[in-house]
Amino acid sequence: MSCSDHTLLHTQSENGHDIAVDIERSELYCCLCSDQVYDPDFDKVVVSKNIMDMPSKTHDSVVDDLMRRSSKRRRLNPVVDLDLKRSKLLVSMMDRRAKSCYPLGLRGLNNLGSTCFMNSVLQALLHAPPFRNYFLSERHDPETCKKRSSDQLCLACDFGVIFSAVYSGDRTPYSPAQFLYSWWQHSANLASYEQQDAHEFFISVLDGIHEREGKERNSNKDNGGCQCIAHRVFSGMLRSDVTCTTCGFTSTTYDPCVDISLNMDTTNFSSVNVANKSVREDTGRSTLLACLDLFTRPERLGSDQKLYCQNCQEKRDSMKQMSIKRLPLVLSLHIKRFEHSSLRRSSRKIDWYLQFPFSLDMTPYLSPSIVRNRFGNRVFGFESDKPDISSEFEIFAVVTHSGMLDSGHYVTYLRLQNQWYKCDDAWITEVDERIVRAAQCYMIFYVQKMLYCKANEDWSCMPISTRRDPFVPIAGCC
Amino acid sequence: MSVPNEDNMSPHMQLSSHFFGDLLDSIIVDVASECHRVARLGLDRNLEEEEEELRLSAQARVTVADPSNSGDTTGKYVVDIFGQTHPCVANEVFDCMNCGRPIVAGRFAPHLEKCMGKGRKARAKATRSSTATQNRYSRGSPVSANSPHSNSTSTNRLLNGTYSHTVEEYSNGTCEGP
Repeated sequence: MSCSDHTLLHTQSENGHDIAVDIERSELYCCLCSDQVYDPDFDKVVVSKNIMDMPSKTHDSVVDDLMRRSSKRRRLNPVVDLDLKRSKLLVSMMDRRAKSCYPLGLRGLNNLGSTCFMNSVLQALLHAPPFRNYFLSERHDPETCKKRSSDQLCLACDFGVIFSAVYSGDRTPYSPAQFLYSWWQHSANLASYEQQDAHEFFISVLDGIHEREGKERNSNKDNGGCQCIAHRVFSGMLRSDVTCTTCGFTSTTYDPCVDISLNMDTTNFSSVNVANKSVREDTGRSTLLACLDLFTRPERLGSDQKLYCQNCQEKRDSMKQMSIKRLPLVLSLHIKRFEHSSLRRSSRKIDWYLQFPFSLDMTPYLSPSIVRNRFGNRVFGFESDKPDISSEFEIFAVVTHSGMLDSGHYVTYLRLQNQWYKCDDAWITEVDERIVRAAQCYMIFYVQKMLYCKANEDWSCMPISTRRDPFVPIAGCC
Repeated sequence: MSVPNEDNMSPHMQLSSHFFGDLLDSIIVDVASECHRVARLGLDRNLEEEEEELRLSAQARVTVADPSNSGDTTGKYVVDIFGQTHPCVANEVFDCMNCGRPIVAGRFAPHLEKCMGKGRKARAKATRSSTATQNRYSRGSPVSANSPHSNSTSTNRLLNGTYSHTVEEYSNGTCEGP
């Protein structure tokens, strides 16, 4: 153990002394393999020694985190009861007038006057597999809804109406007027014919559904989380670890979220000097993964943001790190393209290109990965490292924004059966995937891979049969 | 930086050179050890897939930027996939659910605003000055870069439409904005 020369000699002279320990780095070296090797028991010992050195109050939480065998297989998300059979039948009962063999549910939405912010988000929601299946299976029953409350306002009911209309087979553009009316009644502060933000609308709509549905469905508290359709589909859990930089004590909190807002990694932009002013230029290298890295990077909180440390019993400088505790079925990522300059007292939009993948593996951003990395990637059981399929996501919708901060246009791209469609208010057109890859994304919607595959094989272009005899094929559909 | 010839070095210099070499080796092994651990335990990301996505995106941007590619059908005078064309201002007519009057779809929002008594004309506080705009952007608590998602909405809004927007149809068939 004293030096590298002796290590080799020692192995040769003594039998059975093949393992050496790098005491600087706490790593094992096997002289027979001539390689660094890893052992869970050894790592366990290393970490527990590290924990011993931490303030005692940290013990419990850290021990919980790391020492618990990760054969706590993550409880499979209680997948929304998709009831695909029922929704399939519903489709077959619908209007046979669909002239084309394009996927059902593809229908333009009329712009009612600066309402592309609404149309773009509606298109994404109309094609979010678990959300869509819920409404097409008529799980939200307007009759029961009205009986429960005399209040006419229910965004979920309005959604039901839109789903029926859009999936009816009628291809003429639909006017979501009733929905606008309901939404303005719900979000009085946003009710005006003027500039609106699509992300704001999205959050507001989910909130509206929750307000109404949440009360009825949450009587059984054991469900572990709100059972309204908005949360069952979109809600995940974020974990926040705040570490006192003085004593190392870490406190952990969990917060639910229906989406994740990401800052663009502005460090990736190079500064160029133009006329004595430093101008940031788009290098074209910004990526979504870099934004997620930034989101989960440990952040040193400023001295004006001192937090109370339970161990030190006073306010201290701290570090904060975010990670994802539980992923939702549909992962909505919002890119904060807004830049506020306190110097110039103005705001502007960051127009720069952001690369985003069509297939996304969220494993590196999950709490176990982040926490493990914080402790030098010490492992406690190799079985915990099997790739978890529910961390893999596939893109199905992108909401893009073009134009300026206060005057622009939203367009949604949808991926259905591996074909991309552009939904520009009333106009639905087919586009090549390269158009989508090169577009300026604002909100990106991913769905768990398993649900994506299911949705795309079940919803392939099927002949629409009659209500009475679902087995009689009808000619005309490709 | 060239390594000085050991024979010409004083014992003092030899010693410092030796220490430097040790420190450098130590740093290199630190990094190598960490990377080895990540790679061996399979903790690294699927770099091939990531690189493939990057490549596809880069390729896509090049293709799209090429003016010779007809690319995306822009403009609102195109035919959609169902073979339909649509006017710039949606001309479907339906009854307003607030007042009952028949309204043209494309003008429904401005109508509804007045009809419901909402919007900037009805609200006393709204003004068109730029300070009001700034105030709207800056209201709400400061959101740090990595804060858990909060419901703060005011600081990151991408807006569509303009203040005095009315949808006009131009004689040549092109449409102004949304």
